[in-house]
Amino acid sequence: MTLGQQDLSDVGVLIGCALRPKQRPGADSDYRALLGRYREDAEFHNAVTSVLDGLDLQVLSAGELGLVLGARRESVFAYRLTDLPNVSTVSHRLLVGLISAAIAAYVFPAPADFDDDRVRWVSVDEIERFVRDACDRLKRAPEPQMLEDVSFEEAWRTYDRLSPGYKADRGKGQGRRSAASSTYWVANVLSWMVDQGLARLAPNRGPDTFQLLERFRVQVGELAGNATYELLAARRRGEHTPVVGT
Amino acid sequence: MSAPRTVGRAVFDESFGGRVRALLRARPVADAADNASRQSWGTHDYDVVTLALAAIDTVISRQGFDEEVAYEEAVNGLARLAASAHPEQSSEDHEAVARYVIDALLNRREREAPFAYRVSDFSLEPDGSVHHRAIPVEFRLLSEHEDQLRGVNVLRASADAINALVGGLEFDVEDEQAAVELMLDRQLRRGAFGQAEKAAERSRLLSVRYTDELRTLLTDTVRDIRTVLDRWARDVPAQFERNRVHLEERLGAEGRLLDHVRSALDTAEADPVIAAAAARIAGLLEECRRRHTELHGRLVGARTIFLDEQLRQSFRPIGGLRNPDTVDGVFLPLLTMAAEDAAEPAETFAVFAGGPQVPRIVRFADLVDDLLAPRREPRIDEPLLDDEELGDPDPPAVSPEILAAATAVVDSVPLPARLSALLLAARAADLPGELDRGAVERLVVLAALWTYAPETAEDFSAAVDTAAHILGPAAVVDADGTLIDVPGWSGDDLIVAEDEEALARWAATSVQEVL
Repeated sequence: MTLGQQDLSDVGVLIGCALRPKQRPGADSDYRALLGRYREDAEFHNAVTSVLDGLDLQVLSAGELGLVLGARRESVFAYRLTDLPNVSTVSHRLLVGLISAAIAAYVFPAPADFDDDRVRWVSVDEIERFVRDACDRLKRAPEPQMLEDVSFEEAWRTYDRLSPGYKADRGKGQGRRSAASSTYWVANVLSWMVDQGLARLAPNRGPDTFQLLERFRVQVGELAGNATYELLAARRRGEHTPVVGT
Repeated sequence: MSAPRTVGRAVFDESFGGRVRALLRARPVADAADNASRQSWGTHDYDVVTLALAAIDTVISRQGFDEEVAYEEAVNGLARLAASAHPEQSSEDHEAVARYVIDALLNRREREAPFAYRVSDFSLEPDGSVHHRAIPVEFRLLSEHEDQLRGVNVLRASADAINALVGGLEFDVEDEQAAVELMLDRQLRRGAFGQAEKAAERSRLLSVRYTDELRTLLTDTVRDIRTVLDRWARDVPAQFERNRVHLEERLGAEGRLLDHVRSALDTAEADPVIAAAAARIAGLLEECRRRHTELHGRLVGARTIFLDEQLRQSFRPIGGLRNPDTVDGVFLPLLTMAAEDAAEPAETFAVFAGGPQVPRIVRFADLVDDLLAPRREPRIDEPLLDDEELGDPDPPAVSPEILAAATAVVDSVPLPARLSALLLAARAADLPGELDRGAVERLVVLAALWTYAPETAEDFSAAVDTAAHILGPAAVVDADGTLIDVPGWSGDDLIVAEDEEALARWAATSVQEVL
């Protein structure tokens, strides 16, 4: 049998659900039913993946979390970092990338940690300290042979230049963080992750503390980690391949 | 070859370590009971050990079902127990006790790290001397997970916690099940209800273990089918078949046992104690049956999951099947690359981690609604609005025009520069007529002074922001003893540089000039 109009419409409904990161199949019976169909009905499954492929999207997981999607860089659905507040220059985008990678490195230090679905919490200060410590270690490391290229500056200095900020006083006079402070950028990235359904605020665990959600584990473990690793490996081999989503 | 007379031989046995490890599982609970005296409610003698075991039991009661026990549920349950133990205390105290117990089982004090201990392992050398090794032991009792369907955080008990409760060591689930069933059957025939209840309880705990084992296999399958391919090809089908037959038997057997217990209920009318015990066992058996039915459903679906995963993972590139090494593979290489080269891969990581974003198209009606909407909630990095202080906000201490003028003045002078140069530039600058030139000068001086020696003021964030705005985000200011020579000002002629390195270069060149 071939898929009828109603089936194709269902394909659209399922993709629509998958594009809403905060929608859970547990709370939506239509989503649950279509997800079940995606898993069991090969024809429907292929229709969904084909449409997604045309949109430069791929399915990262189809578990109880729902359909988790990854977008290739050229996809119309790929996130543009310039949509984040105060992100305009290349070094801002570098900061957002470094801090995202730092959060992943902080909660998943070893590859095996991706297999453990314990809940992880992070606070703005913890991540700030984590990156700051890495910068300090690099600062103390013996200087490598200076290349003839003097303009060469390592990425960590971009972060290191930011002031660690200051602890906002409790209650009255609680200060806003300045965009020149590193804590501002860490908080900025974490707030963005909340918007993307990757984290949520955990006020019971302390100020500026976030719970990282399963979706973050999937996105980093299934796509971001390996894709970035491959990209870096290709660079080291001297290839400048365009970034692709797989 | 003889053991020292002063020590029992058992300590050198193979099985001795197992006994030590089994006893260790109780240590976090004992430690929590010890530390209870230091809590604010510590003087009231709450029985932390019993509450901790009750907590583990509560968690196990629904583990593996669709609606597992959420953190807050477990707290409420324990708080009720605590309240019945000390009705004279406040409900806040009861809740504090409950949270304390569950957090202790989660090891929340050490950020949910596993409990870690070192145990001594003694062995006898051929020459009669004693050899000692310290062996690290790590385990968890409870852990917190995100229930993917509902999004709430739920608790699960580790195999260590379940085994410590069952009181056994590692054993084969199936044989143990059969043994428990036989035992229960015989006990019921003898009417030994107290023990029968314990046995039924054990049978239920085993069912939880069973569900967990299956969950692990399916999780591994979904994660990377290649790691379990051999098992699927060789052992798993036979194991599933055995399990399925076994489960069907259990369902039948537990049905028979249930009839058994019910008939015991009919005959035991005279003894309310036995009747109550039999009723409890009946409840237990009902739950076992529900579990087995659920498990059966999972088993039936397991093959479908395998086929699905095979289909899904066969189309993925090999690289996508490994768990990434985030520290050495991504984070550190990015930090040590040249900034301009690192920007793109770093951005790639963030974009891929962020997931898709749906492009927004503005609808006119929504736009009007949004414009008329009240102010949004503040973001995390904004101050919380203080509800108690209603009234007009304080006027800004520095007008935006002055701030813009001061920033323009600093921009017009190439840094590093002395403060005197900045002030002369301010005096020579072409300012709009109504601006107060003195205020611009004062602001430049204050920004430099603040950066040189920040004061702890009541609300100094504005100062940091302003200084960064005027002098640049990474500006540094230093003094070298030179006095300022600008009419109207006195003190050190500070050096303002855009960053540390520029200042260092400046210092190096000025030293040469002096020489």
